[in-house]
Amino acid sequence: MLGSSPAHATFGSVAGGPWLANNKSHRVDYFDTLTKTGDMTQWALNNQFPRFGFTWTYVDGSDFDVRIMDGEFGDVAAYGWTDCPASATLGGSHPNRWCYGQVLRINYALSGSWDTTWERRALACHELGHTVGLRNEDASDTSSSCMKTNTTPNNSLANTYSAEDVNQVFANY
Amino acid sequence: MLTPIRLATATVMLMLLTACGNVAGETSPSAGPSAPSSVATDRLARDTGADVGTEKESSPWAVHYINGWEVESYGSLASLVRSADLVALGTVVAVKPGPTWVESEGDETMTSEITAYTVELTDVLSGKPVGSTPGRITLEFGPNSPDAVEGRTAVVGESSLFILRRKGAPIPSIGRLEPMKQDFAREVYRVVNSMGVIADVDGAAALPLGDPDQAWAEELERGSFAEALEHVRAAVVS
Repeated sequence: MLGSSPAHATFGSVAGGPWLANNKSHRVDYFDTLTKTGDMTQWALNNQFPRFGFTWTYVDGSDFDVRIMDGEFGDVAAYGWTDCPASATLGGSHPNRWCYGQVLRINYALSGSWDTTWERRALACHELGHTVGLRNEDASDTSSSCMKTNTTPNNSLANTYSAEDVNQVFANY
Repeated sequence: MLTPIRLATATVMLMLLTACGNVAGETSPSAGPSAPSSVATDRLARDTGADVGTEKESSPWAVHYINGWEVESYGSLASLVRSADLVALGTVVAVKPGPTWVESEGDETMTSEITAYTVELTDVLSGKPVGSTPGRITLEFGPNSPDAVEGRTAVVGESSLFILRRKGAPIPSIGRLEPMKQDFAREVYRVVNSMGVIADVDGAAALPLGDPDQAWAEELERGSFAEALEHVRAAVVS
C-alpha cells in the first residue's frame, strides 16, 4: 500500500512493468522504426543514459535489452509504453525484477497532440526510463523530470531525468 | 510502421521487407549483432522465477499496469468521472485476443496484440453502454507483445468499478474535438487512464493499473471499496 512520502514508489518493478535492466549496458534494437523514432530515442540514450552510468549499444537481431517499435496503434491509453514479452529473459524478484528483451512502443496515432522535437525527446526519455525501472512520478512532485506524465508531452515539460531519478538508478544498480 | 488499415497488405509488406530490408526513410539496422559495449555491473543473477511480490499483485488487474506515458490525467475524481463515457460496476466474463498489428524486418515478424475482455455490467452509474450485446461491453488493453500479459485469464471473474472511455470518442480536455472514426465505429472501450479500474481486494479499494499520481487517488486507495464506490457515485451526480 501507499507510504507517506513519497506517495508511491518511483522506482522498482511490478507485474505489468516496469522492469529493471539486467546490467548497465543497454543493447538497443530498432525494429522497422521511423527516423524520428530513432532520433528521439538516441537523443535520450546519448544525452540522458550516461547520467545513470549506463552505456548503450546499437544491435540488430533478437539479442537485445530493448527493442523499439512504432506504429499507429489507435486510441489506446498511452502515447508510449513498454512490455516484457514471453521471449524475454526474466530474473530477480520484485521490486528488482529485470527483463532482458523488453519491447518499447511509440504510438503515432495520437501524435497530433505531440510531435515536436522537444516533445518526442520527452517521450523517449520517459519510456526509456521505464526500461531501467523508473516509474511514473507524482504530479505533485516538484522536481523537473520526464517521468512525470500528468499532461500531454509539451514543450514546457522536462525532457531530462531529475536528480532524484538519477539517484534512484545509481542506488539500484 | 503499420496502421490497422494497412494490415491487409502485411503479407506483401513482409515479402517486400524480406527482400529489400527497411523501407526508405526509416532507420537502418546495424550490420549485425554485437556484444555489449561493456557489462558494468551484472548485479542480478538470471533466473526464471515467477512474478510475485509487490503490492500491485494483490489484484489480477495488475498484469495491465500501464507502463507508459498516459494520454489523460485528471486532478480530481470528479473531473475523471465527468470526463468518462461510461462509469459502471461489472464482472469480467471472458477474454480473447483483439486486433493485431504485424510488422516485419528482414526475416523477423513482430506482432502487437490487443487484449479484449467482455464485461457484464451490473450497475451503470453514468453513460450509455455501446456494443453488440445489451448489458455487456468490450474493454481493451494494449496492444502488447503476444503473451506479454501473463495472467490474463486470471482477470476473468473479477468484479470491479470501471471508469471508461469509448475508443475514438472526442476528448475535449485534451483537445480532441472530433472522433477517431475507425476506433469509434468499433464500439469498444478502454480505461480513461490507469485510475480507470477500481478493484475490490478483500474489501479494500485498489488502483492496480498504475501508481496513484494525484492526491485524490492516493486517498481513494487508502479506503474501502465501498467508500470508493460512494465517492464515485457522488462524483457522478456532482
